[in-house]
Amino acid sequence: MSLVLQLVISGLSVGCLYALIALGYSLTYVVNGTLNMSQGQLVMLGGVLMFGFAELAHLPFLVSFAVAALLVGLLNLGIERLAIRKFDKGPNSIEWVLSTIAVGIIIQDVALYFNGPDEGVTPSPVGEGMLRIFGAGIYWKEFIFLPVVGVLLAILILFYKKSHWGLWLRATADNRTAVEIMGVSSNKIVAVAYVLSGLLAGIGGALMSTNYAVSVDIGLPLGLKAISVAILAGVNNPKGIVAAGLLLGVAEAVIGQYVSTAFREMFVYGMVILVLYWKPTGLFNARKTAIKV
Amino acid sequence: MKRAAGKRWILGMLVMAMIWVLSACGAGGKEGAPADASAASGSGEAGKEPILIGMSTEATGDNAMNSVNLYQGVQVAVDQVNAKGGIDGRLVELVVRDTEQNPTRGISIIRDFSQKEKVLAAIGGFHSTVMLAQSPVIMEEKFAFMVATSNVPASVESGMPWTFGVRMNANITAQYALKFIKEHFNTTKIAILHENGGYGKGAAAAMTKVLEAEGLKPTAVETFDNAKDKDMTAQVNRAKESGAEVVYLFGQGAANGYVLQAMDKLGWKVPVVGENGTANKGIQEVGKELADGVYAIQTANFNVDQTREPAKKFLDDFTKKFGHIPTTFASAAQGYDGAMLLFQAIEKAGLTGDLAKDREAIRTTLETNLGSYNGVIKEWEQAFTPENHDAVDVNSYLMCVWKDGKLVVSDKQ
Repeated sequence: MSLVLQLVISGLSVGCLYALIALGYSLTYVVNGTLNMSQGQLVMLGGVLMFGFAELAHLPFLVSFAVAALLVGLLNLGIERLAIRKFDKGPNSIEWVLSTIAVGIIIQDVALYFNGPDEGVTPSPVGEGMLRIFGAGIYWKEFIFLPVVGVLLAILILFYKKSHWGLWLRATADNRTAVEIMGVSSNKIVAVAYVLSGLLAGIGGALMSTNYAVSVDIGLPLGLKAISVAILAGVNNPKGIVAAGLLLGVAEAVIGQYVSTAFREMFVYGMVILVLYWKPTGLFNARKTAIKV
Repeated sequence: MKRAAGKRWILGMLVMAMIWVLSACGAGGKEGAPADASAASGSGEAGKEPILIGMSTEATGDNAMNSVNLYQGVQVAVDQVNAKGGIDGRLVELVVRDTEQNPTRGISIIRDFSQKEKVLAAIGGFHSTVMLAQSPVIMEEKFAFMVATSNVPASVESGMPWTFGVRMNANITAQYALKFIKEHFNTTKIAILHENGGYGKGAAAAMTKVLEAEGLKPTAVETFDNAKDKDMTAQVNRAKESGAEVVYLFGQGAANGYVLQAMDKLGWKVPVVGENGTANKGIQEVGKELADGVYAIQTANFNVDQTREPAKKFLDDFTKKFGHIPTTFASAAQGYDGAMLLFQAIEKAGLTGDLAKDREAIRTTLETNLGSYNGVIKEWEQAFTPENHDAVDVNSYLMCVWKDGKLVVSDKQ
């Protein structure tokens, strides 16, 4: 029993990370149908900046956290302007795939130049202690991921439901032309979505660096995992994405234990393909475009 | 109209700025990583062609921070030999290439060394998967190559006349480790946890082989992906359930730390023995105090006072040049000794100017006529023979252990 519990809670903390990154994909996909393929590298950047500010520049934890997240958010504003807007020419355009992959490579190389290849972990303010639940262990610094992701999800849903920006975002997702006719600049809406997506990436990276080692090359594998979480859940459903992220994390741990550690990726991705056969628009997706909150 | 022109102008500026940043990075990359190694110290005779030595390294990727130690060790060797006026009055110059941990790129680098750059010999071989791909190509291109870290036996053994190892051959390491484990922990119940690349697989196969030679088996063999896996609960639990009393751990850096975290969560406390992977800083970054007591098999340790003269000189020069001591001890020491052995062979062989002949002469000198060499790791009478291309034998090892956040020489040897 304790083993099953251990696998589940170990899987949950990794799953939180997947969920957080996948939410970033969702934010941009719903407004203009683009995925920022450099999302993983943005997460890396958040983590590396966090480590740099907190450990090398000795700034207070929360300041480092906020600055890292904000910088990544702002960077994504630039990415939207330079690598998305020109290339997003309607539903059939795919040029943005290449341009954002290119941006990812550039981010990684620039980070390597300035940061070097070192791995680092930022000490978490909650310390190194361990929480024991019926014999199963989880570090407090991992456990904290769960409420943070929960709170971020709640804020995101509130934002969609209550703020006029959220309303515009959902409206743009539904019908961009109608939004333009109503006098709202859809370019601005897309830019806002990108900033928010960047913020999530920055927060994800900064949070991640408190338990996992961050180095300049962690971006791509994380980005790929998260994109499969987003697609598995249905890209337009934030709650579904969090659920799918947690599910994937737990599935990895359980498959590792009961099937095989060597082939766990193969099994996990095999499952993803099966799910997509069964539900082509994702597990929790209701309709094709609108945001489900 | 005016606005549109203004916008276009801004876009143009942005593009220019981006190009500038990119070109700056490109140039920076060249300075930062490779290419500056040639640092000619001026005492060589003017007008004489430099001696070109290929340096195949990993400057990018998740192993780069450890791999750089090998490269730095070689740089110190080059500086020392050039400060003495080079070899026969010719300065040594490194031709540095980054494999990016990509085997295909590693192969084209070997071709490049041989055909385009026309190097006399080369050194490198940190990343095992890359090294495995390079070895057969080196055999085709016919120049001596010093493997200074990669542990995979096949890259030097199995009929490879052109590769020479100053590295911890996984087979020899496993013999040493098994002896150490039996002697100090009084058990043969060993679980192997390894990363799924050449490094981990080589070590797992070697440990399995030495156990089988005694009619035993590892209690569990579990793998993980060094770059992707962050949660090792499943692997560690399977090893724990197998009844293992020692973990033989072959991942790189942070991944080893995740293994320690999983052991901590499962309340499993057994000795952990590794090699270079448990010696570098990643395990300490992630595992923090959990890393204390973890063993790392090395060939040198620079956290303690050096008793041997060449090691002292090496450490001094290294610290002067880079401002810190090496971070992966074995790789730095092996890089240095490997390069020095190569230089000694070049000097003894005597260069004729015929590239193919000179390359062959260097190889035969390494095998038969190298003579004694007093290095950082130890003093060799004759490091290589035609039958044995591995300079590091079972008596060259130094067991190290983490203590209060520092890797020190273990009391248990």
